[in-house]
Amino acid sequence: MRLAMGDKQSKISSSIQAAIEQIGHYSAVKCVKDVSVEQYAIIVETEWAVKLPNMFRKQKISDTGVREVEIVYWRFPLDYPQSAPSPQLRSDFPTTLPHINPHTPGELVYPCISESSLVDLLHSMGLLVLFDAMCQWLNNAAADELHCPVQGWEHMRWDNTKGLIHADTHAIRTDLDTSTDVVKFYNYRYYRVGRSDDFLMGELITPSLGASNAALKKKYLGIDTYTSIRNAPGVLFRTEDGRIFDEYGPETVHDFRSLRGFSKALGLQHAFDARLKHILTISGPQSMQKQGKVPVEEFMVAFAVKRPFNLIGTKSPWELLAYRVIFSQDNEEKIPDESVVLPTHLIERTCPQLLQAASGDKTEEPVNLSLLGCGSLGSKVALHLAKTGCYQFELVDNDYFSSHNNARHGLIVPDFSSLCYSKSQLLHRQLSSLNVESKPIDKDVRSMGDREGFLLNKNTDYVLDTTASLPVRYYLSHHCESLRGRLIQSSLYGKSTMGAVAIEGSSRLVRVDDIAAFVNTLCIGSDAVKNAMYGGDGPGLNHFGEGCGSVTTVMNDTDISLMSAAVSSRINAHIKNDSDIPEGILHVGTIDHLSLGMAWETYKFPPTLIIPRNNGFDWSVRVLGSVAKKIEKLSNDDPMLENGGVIAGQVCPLSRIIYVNYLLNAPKGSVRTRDRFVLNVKGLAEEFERIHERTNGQITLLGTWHSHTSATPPSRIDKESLKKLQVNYDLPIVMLTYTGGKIVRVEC
Amino acid sequence: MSKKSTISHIPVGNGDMTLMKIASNNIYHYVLVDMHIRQNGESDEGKCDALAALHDLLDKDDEGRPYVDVLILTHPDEDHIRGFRENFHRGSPDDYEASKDGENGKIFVREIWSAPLIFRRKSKNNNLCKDAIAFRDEAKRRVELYKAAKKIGKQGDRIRLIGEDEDGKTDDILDIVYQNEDVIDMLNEVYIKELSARVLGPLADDEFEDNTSLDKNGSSIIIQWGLASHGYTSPSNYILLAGDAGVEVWDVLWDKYKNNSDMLQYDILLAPHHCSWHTLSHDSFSDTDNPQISADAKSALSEARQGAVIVSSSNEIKDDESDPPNYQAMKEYESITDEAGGAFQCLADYKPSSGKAPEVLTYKLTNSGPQEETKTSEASSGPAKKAARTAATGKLFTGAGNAIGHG
Repeated sequence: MRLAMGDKQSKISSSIQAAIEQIGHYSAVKCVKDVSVEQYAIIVETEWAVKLPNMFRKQKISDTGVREVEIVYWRFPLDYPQSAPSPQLRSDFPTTLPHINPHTPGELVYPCISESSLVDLLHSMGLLVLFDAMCQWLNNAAADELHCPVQGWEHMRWDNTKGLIHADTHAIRTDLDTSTDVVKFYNYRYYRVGRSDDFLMGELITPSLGASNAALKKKYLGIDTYTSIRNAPGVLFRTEDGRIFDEYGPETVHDFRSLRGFSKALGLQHAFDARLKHILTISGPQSMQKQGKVPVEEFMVAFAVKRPFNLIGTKSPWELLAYRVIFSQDNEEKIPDESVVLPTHLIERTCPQLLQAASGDKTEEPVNLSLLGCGSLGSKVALHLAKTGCYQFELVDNDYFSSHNNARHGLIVPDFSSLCYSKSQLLHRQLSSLNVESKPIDKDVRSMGDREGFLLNKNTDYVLDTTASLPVRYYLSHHCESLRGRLIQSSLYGKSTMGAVAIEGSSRLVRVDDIAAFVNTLCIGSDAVKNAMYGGDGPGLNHFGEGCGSVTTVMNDTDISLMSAAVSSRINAHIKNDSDIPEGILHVGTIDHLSLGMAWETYKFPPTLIIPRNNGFDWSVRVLGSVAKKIEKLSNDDPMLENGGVIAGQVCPLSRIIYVNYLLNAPKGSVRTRDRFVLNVKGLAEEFERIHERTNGQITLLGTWHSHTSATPPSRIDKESLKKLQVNYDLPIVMLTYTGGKIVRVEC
Repeated sequence: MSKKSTISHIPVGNGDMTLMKIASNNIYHYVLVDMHIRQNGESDEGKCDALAALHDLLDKDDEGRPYVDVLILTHPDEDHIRGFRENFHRGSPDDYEASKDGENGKIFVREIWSAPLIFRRKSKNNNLCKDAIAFRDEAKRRVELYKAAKKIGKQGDRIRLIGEDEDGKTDDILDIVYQNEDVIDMLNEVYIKELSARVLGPLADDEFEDNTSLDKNGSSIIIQWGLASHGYTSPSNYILLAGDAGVEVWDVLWDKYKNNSDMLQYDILLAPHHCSWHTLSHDSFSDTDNPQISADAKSALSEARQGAVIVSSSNEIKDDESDPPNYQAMKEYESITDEAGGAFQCLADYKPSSGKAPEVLTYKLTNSGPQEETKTSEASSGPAKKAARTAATGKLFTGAGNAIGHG
């Protein structure tokens, strides 16, 4: 409908009028030729100056068919600027160029001028940017620059496709890179929506069935009586090695004749004819009927075509073009030329490579991670890590999902389906939806045997304990002779106001129990850590519903999610960037729930000094590497004088281990001479009272240390002092001496 | 939007200043060939602010330094090196002084390409201006570092010589010397698959008929830059940059390559010596009754590809006896471009926005050869938009003096 100018103006909103004014002043616009009003849009016809490459300026048209002056029709929806204007080009504009939207012959051509949506572009950067994008598109079209190797090869334009087929395109492309077979058969499963050929959901199952005709077996083909899912043949042809197809063109296939012609253009006609004959023989309607089966309606043909550079959004030059071929019901011998062939979309299936591309994380080989504990923290960490596409899992948990777990767990499980399912099974099911490999193990890790690294996969790179279970920590520390991978232990404290990630040192030279004992010492200097560990409500027995109880802390999903995301990030960063650090590592993060500010500290620990138990002293002493280093440093500050101080730490009566992880300086008044160190104890009782208060009694006095100026064994005075100390104390007392360049325990 | 290679000719009157932005592996590599930057305070409404234009085209590195990957001085005449002392960092990279907030810092030169002529003793034909002396000193510093370390140093200390020096003076540093007919595919030690730059000059003394040492113009670096569009390898753009190479040079080049004239082909030729008559003729234009064109020199300069453009980096060309630029020389070039279906473009006349001052002429280097860049709105470029806003805000405050009063 065209209107006179007066009528037009009354129909055109002031916003569109202002936009038309802007178009008129745009540098590449020679003139606004016409403004017309349609039912749903205002069309602004403009003459647009194109900068032809110098070599085409004289002939005023480029080799690609772009003219020096092009007509651009800007179509403004009536609700502009709520919706964006879109450009269209003359109906005879060359449509063999890339980056053109689906097109119907005879209609105006709709160029794809931006990777992002035009309305987003309009609202983020303004109308002029749309004109700039149009300008650049036309100039690039004139210079044959629409295809850019850096951006990637544009997928063939389909003006009319029917159906959506899921496929693991990464797996198919990997197979193309590693195998030279010209043909591969696949199981093609589909489900038709209604009677029409148009609506279909399908799946190309990977891996392929193989290259030989025998790989395609009759018995697997047919329609499932209960689900109506069809199992039909799929066949993929790849172009010959060394041939690269660098001519871009839109889809031309619409029937069997044109499909066969396309195979010929790709140099694949011989293979195409031979393999399709086989498909017809075993899965054509007549063949299926002879087998007493209801025939499948169609099969799939796909071509893998090698392009000169990678396709947009992939790291592969293989373009996958898929077609649904509808069987003829009448012809037994061959597929008639006029048989319907429908180009179809291969939709990329979620897979680790896709996750890697989207997350930005990369790995050549997946990291094998054994997750101990699939509870709130474990499930969230597993999902975060799985979504990077860089991990595969073993999931160990023997607990069953309870209704109240839905409040904070990474999964949401309907009551019915949660029955009889363990958390590890449910998490495995969820990870399978991402096509991330995982194996559920419904067991308590403590029952899995210790000698073989509790039977985990021998390729395990890391064992991640998120159980927050002290017995599990005890078991991993004291009853596992070896582990399959490096142990990481992650815990949340204080209603998730603090998170800790402890990573054992290489070869277990620093164990997570060393690090866990050290965490307590942080309470002495940090209110945030103290409050998180010992300041508030700890876990308690909470009941949810009749008879349904578990030991857990009441807190909401947001709080635990906030910290578990950070914990996941720490673990992922360590595995990606710092996996070769030999020291034990502790990351401690605290969060201020008012400001939501998060602060993380990292501690590194050199190998722990282990002084084994013996007949006279039934306690093993583990001196944290950083504490041993400090003793060494203080001893060597002035090697002509003895030095000393107080040692503190934690005592584990169950394992009979003494963890030395804290030093107190010798109080003023202590005496240092060449052959004597006298520790003044004034104020020590008060200091330990403070330490006990800060650490809930976890960090306590363990004894003393002192140095010798020469490599002499513990003296008589040392032994007598030790005896006196032991008499007056209820816990084992340790006296360490730095002598001859090493730390030894004084024995009575 | 993927990056596109470009060549920008900055209008500097009778002088040369060409910047190539070569897109490879999704980053730009900047090559500046010559410069002619007026001193501060010499700004003129009718002239392009070359320094500002250059900074607009360049990026800054991680340390906030504007930089070029390669600076090429075709020959050490003042109209090719003016502004070097004041605007480019010299000395050790560690001594770079950061700029004050809001100011453009000195331009950091990662690698220098120089003709060996720069190192020769002062003579009648080799009298250096202050900027050329500064350039020579910087080049020498880098050569000495190479000699001491016997290896190519870090960026900011790197240098390449184009052509061997006389009497074997460069024999001990041949690893950093590009010889004639070498094809270069590296910039600042980075392989550029889109680049194949062929060295055609400077010619050696013994290549000339009289075997005499030439002046600076005769010793200009001449490179035929073959450039593929970003991501491709086969050159689709040929650019011939030859400094002030005179007629004797072009005679010799034609003699060398008349049977292999692809070596001289171009899509863009920067008319040597600012469209001087002496590029095309042995005769003085003003002192000879009927000055003749050297057929060989003109043939050497006539290897224009379809649609080729000859750019004159010069003052406006008037129909008189001035030289350079010379009107008759322009006519000769026009005859070449007419035959190729191309065009002759004097930078002094390039005013697409119809302002008083000439503007930077930029060509994208595409699969179909050079394509003049459209001046799009600044809105499409985040940094440009930001810079425009900053400039506008600055102007606002400058206009307001030291305070903004309120009633």
